[in-house]
Amino acid sequence: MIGDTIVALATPSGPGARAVLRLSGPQAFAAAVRCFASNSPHDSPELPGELAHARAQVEGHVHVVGRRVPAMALTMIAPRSFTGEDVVELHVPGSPVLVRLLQDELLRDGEAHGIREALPGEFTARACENGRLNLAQAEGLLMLLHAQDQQQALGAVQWLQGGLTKAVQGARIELQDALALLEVGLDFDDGDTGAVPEELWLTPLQPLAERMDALLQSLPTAAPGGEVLLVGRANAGKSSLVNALSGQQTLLVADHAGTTRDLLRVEVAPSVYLWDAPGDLASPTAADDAALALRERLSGRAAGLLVVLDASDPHVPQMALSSPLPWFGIVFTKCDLVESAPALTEAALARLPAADRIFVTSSTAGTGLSRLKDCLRRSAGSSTVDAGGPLRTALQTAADAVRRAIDAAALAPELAAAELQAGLRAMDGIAGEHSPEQLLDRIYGRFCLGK
Amino acid sequence: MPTRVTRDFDVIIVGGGHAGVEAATAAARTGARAAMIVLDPAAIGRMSCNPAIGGLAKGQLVREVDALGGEMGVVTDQTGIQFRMLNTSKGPAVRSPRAQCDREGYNRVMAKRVLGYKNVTVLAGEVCDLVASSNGKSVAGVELQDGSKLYAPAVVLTTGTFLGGKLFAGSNQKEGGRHGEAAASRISTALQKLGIQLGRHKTGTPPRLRMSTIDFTGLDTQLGDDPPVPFSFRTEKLEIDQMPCWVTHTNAKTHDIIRAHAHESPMFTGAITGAGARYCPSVEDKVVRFADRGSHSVFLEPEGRDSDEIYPNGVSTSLPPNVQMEFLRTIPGLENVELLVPGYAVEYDYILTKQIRGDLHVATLRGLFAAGQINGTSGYEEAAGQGLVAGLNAARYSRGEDPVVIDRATGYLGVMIDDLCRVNPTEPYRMFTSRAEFRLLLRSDNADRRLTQLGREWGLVSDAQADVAAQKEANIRAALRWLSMTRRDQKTLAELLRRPEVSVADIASWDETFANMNLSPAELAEVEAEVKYEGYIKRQAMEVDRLKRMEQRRIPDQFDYEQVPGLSSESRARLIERRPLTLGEASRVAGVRPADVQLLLVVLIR
Repeated sequence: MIGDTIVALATPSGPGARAVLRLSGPQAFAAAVRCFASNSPHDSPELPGELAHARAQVEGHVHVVGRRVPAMALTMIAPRSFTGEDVVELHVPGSPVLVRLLQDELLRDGEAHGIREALPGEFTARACENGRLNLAQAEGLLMLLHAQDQQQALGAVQWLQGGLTKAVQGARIELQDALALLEVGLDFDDGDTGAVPEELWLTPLQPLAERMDALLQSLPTAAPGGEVLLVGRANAGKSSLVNALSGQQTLLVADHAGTTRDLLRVEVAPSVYLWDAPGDLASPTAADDAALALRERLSGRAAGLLVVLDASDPHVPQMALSSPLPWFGIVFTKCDLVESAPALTEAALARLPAADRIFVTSSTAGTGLSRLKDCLRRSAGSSTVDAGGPLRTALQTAADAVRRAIDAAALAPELAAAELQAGLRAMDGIAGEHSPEQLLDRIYGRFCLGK
Repeated sequence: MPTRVTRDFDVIIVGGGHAGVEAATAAARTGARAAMIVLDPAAIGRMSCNPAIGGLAKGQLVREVDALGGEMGVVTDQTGIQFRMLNTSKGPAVRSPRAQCDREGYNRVMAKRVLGYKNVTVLAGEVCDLVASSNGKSVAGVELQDGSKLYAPAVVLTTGTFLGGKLFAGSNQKEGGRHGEAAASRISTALQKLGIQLGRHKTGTPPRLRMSTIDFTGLDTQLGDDPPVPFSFRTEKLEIDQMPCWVTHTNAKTHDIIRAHAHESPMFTGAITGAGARYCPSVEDKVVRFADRGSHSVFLEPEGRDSDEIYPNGVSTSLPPNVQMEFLRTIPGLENVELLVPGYAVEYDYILTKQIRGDLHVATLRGLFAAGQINGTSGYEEAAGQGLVAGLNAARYSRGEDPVVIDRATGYLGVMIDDLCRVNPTEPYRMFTSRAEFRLLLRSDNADRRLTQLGREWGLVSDAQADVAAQKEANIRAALRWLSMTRRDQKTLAELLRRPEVSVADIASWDETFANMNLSPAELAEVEAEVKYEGYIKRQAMEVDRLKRMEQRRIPDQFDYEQVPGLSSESRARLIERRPLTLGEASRVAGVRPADVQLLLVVLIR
């Protein structure tokens, strides 16, 4: 259970019309009212009560170094918020200095108040953990945040609302039901159950395969091409690299680890986008797991992957990349700080797939950047990527398995069962994990078993 | 490595049930000096519930125990009174042998065999406490009721339903492990004192009926197979007269009586708090929960050749004895039945199995092993399988050798133990074939092919048994090679055999060479299974390979998790507490993430 309250800037850093500081956790209201006061004179004293309306919007001001600055507080009460916890958003003018000061104010005596700075991706992680988002939805959210046109946005919204997820879940349950009916005949003597006729599990399979096909047709495909995921340890120089490649100062760069708070997407060449993932901290907390998982999922639909290693300290990121991407490279950064190209330890090499390309760069000196940019343009710029990647693969595998099960039924029921099990396992993680226990639950629910 | 202190025995086994006998005999076969401490030496290998061995998935377990030189299959063959192969209408992977045994004979033959092991010493006594080493981190022996102590570096607990056992019939409840036998309550306290967490399970058994008061006329009979297929790979042929079983049914009247008295069952009064198994419900449970079913089958199984006792399979109950008599007498054939022993429920303690490792070692106390119902399982076969693995590993531990773990692609033994390590069973754990993701590989027919050579390596199996298995393997390989090389009408014989309508007998009628190979029925069954399953097995090969790589990557006993850079402190703490045996086991420790496993792998390779 997550007991502490987290705070972080929810809008891109740098100057802007408005900045939003988001607080999430049991102390969100208490922390907010230490800085924020309502303009409405009569309710100032009972502000926590005032704020505690579901989805209240309160005009007011914040006190920063003794100055009153106009502000607005948006409150959401657990579990009716994005994270499923109490959430307060403080909207203030988008001045980086103001935001810094306000954040310091919120974090003052943080330990005593149970409030701390959010870890990378922690809001999304909490949303996943509290069951507010499943991975497909979280992915939809990212797509929405980064949608480039209306079509993409609509697709993302559909994901977010879980409409598709619900349909996929339904298909999975049907698959499980069919398997349960099949297994009952394998795992129990006819004397126990009375024979279970084959039609009971075989007949529903064809319509199920067709419904899965229809679902596949309806998956959004509106993802832009040329997505490259950057992966690297915190402070390996990923943000500097992105800034150098794009020629903009879009990313906040700092010399302490973990500056990048959420996934950021930047165009570094025409139709080539780099996703800058939060740095892989040396020991992320358990709450960060979902964020890591999310990033792994995203890597499943990126066209390429760049592993960024600090040449002066080349530690390979801990993150386990389950599937090698079609395009892969290693970028050494900060090469101005070392004399020769660094050698990787054997242990590090063991953890990395063979590198197609190795780039030696320095963002400060500008070396090696044009070669990297050329490569990116050629290799990644042309590919298009499917937004529903993991979901599509899972559904396709499951639908194929169902069809094979229909064929296998003519040979032997245990072969049909092997196919259906493979189909269910393909859908693991998309709509819950398959386990034999669940299957037994379904069997016991329907049959009076046992002598 | 166990410390060198007083050593009366290498391994002490507490209990002499199905887990205990396999533990003691397995340890002894590897050369360890084993002591088996039992409350009553006459009860060694006693069948507490129905006198049957095997059944779906359980039959595979017995074959695996047998393939590792165990006793259960041999004794079943010697004392069986009816043998049936179940699921013959389905494929070889889900076929299982089942046998009715002579209860008294099984008990007697098993006890005799155990006593015949020169490395096994049977002692009568009650174990009251565990003796811990001076640092409290490992076990050093046991203390008996008279205060005497026996020392051994490894202790295997196989206490079955006797651990804190409590018997229920109606409003009657008393301490006990089995009908007429005392419980072993003090071990529970000893375990808790050592910080081991316990849970509570419930099981039940039906009343036993006097055979001579049953009218079998008009009842359906169930006969054994002709010819009967033996359990043991070491039994060449069974030559016995088989006995029938009978089937009768409950009816509306039976259900009315049960419903009217259901409130008197300790199941419903709340007296029983332990979790019972859903696959083995009491008759009152069946009637109340499945109210729409007008009738349930009752199998009348003879308890032995010369026994006047019938086991009515299907009416397990803890209703008051007079109610048991009343509802039984509404069942056709049982109108005048007399009860020899009323049915009862038994509630007992078990060790929450997340504290157990893949070698059945209790993770927090070195040298302590557990097997059988004490690990939350149910069934003779599940108990025997764990007993064998625990006995083997206890013996190895006593010699300072590395533990052995059977993986999920090699045996149901592996599936079962791995399942137990992952979750605390919420109901008594029973084996089902659907628990095995590589079910097609784990056939009752090939248990010897999967395990016997390993058994030889581990010192469990005689050379004679291993040589027979090796010869069988060679014959099967040769036949498979021939089938894949030889063509008929442009197709290989293997391709033809893959068709559902073609059998090995057809192939033999077409091809003289194959016919002349004179394969045994068991070898033919394996050839057929290998060919028919080939495509599926190939598709699973990669998964099996991945599993084996993870499971074979051993983590040394004294592995220093502090030296793994980047491991999260939470994962580190959990790994240090659990001390997983393999990388595979580590990956399943709750809270350990794929990235942590990756880090571990790197350090282990280095």
